[in-house]
Amino acid sequence: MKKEDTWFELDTAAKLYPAIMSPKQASVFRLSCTLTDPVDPEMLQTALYVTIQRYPSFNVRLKRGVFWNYFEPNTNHPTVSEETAYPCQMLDASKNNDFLFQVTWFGKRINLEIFHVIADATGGIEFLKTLVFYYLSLQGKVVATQGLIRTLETKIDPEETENSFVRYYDPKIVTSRAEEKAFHYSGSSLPFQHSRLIHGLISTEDLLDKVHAYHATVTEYLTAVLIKAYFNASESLIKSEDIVKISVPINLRAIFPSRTVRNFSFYMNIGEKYQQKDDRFESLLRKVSEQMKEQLQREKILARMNPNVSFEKNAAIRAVPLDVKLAVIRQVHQMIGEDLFTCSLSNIGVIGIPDSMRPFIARFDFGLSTSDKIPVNCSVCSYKGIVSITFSSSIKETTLEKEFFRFLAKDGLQVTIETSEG
Amino acid sequence: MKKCLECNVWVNTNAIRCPLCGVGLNQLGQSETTLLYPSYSKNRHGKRKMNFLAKIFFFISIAASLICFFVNVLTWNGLPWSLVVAGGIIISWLLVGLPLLKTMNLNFMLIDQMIGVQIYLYLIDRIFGNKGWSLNYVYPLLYVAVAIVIVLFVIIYRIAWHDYLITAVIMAVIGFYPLILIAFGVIDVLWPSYTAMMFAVLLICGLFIFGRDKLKKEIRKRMNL
Ligand SMILES: [Zn+2]
Repeated sequence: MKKEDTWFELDTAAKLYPAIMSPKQASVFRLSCTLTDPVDPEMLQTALYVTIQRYPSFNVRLKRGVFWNYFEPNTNHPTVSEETAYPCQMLDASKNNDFLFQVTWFGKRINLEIFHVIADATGGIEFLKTLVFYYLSLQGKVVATQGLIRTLETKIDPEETENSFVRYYDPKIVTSRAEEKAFHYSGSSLPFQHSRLIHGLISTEDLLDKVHAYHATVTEYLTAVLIKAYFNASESLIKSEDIVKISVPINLRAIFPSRTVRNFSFYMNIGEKYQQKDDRFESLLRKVSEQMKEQLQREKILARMNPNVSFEKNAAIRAVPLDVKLAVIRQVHQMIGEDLFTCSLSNIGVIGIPDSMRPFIARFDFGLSTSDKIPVNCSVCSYKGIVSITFSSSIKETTLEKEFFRFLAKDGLQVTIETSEG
Repeated sequence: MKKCLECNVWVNTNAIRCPLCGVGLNQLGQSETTLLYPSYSKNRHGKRKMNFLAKIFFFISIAASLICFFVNVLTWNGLPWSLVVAGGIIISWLLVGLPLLKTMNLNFMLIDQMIGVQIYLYLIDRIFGNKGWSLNYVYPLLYVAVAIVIVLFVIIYRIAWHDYLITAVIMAVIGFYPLILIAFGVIDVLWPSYTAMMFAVLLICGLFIFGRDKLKKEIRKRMNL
């Protein structure tokens, strides 16, 4: 088949994003890789030309069909540019050679910003790893993939561009998803299309020692700290019956094996009713751990994930014209989607980089975009003994971030703060 | 590195205040921090300037239309010529503004512009004596011109030509509009309309002979089959 004849359907999760995308709800995430030396833009451009050949599901433009959006191969070339805009803003494909991702550089840092419609963070990391691998190779560094990097030499497995939601779909396992509304944090908005990142850096070793002492995982611990930070930061806003709920993405590849680089993640909402300041952190953490263990069960995830697939498989729904579908999805999302959680805490864990590449890469960061209802989001990744916790925000107040990092410091962890402002 | 004693955190920054709590930072040890993020204030200027220019033109457009409207009403001579001015301004936005936005498929844009110009010229025709030149001549001949441009696009932009196929189909269908006008007896000069319809038939033949497979695939794609 010729290149222009192929086309992809949007995956199950991706179908949401064209409906809800707006400058105030970008649905964009950023993966950054800080090198040890300043970035050479021309090399980066060449590396991007090579990398895009390896990822057909990134090399696309978004088109409108009669019933659904679809992807078709993009005949343009992606270009790199120096970072000038605020992080995680809406990607305007028409000003980006129709691409749904963007590579920028600033100093020693390479940023990959992705519109969620083509990939989730796990897929994005694969792309970024390949990009950095080719960049370092072009610079004449002796680097090897060690089976951790997808290069042009490794054949493209059809599984890499599949919609894995459909593969693991089981119409028999379904549950209703009636959930309580969550507390929403707010503040005075930053100007239109402005955003701020605050990174907190912690030693991985110290953090692991800390969470093991609590008999918890890193995600459980950070989620509990975040809930506590919301309690402390919103004392004047919050009522006693309010529930702070953290939406924690689950990388489904860990439970349902798949090599896809498109969307294949789901989420669990971990919540806790507002408590007074003096309540014990240990009991909060225990409740969070229990909720996570409960929701991470295979059957539980399938039961909550399957309705999405049956929605797109339903023949009657299929026959509805695209614009009506998008309008309905937008309405439903506005009415319930974001109401069910206070913010996200996305932890993509340790980023696996081959030993040969490690001397040239100093750090990875991960950031999310925000929306009117969810003005602050939190994301976490770890590399080379440093955990990078990033708060992205579209409000002026830094109270939440302050409470979060002060708690970590009080709990005995050494925190280093960096920010995109000043 | 600097330290905030209130938050008990280290801060890697050139700023003098803690980004979390705003309290003054303590410099502990000597080290210069390199710039971590671009200074955003400088970069946005270009875009804002562009928007401002567009706003000025938009304001002038509205002012011109309004002034003409008032002069027209105050010196009424039976001709609503101010509508021609306002229409002309709208058409200029359509012809110049749409391509600048660059958000639309070029071909769909051509069709929209064609229809816009046709409506405008029909309006002028009606206002100045209703002689019928717009429907008799301008409509069909403009159609032929746009059809030729789109066929040229299909030939020149081979790589993306499946993109233009659907537009060609729409053009072919639009091409039969004179049938309606003839049926209602609105037009009296027939040869330009016949020319337009002949073009539409040719377009369909061409699509069928050269692009049948492509067209099938394109339709399947758009129907998400
Ligand atoms: Zn402070």
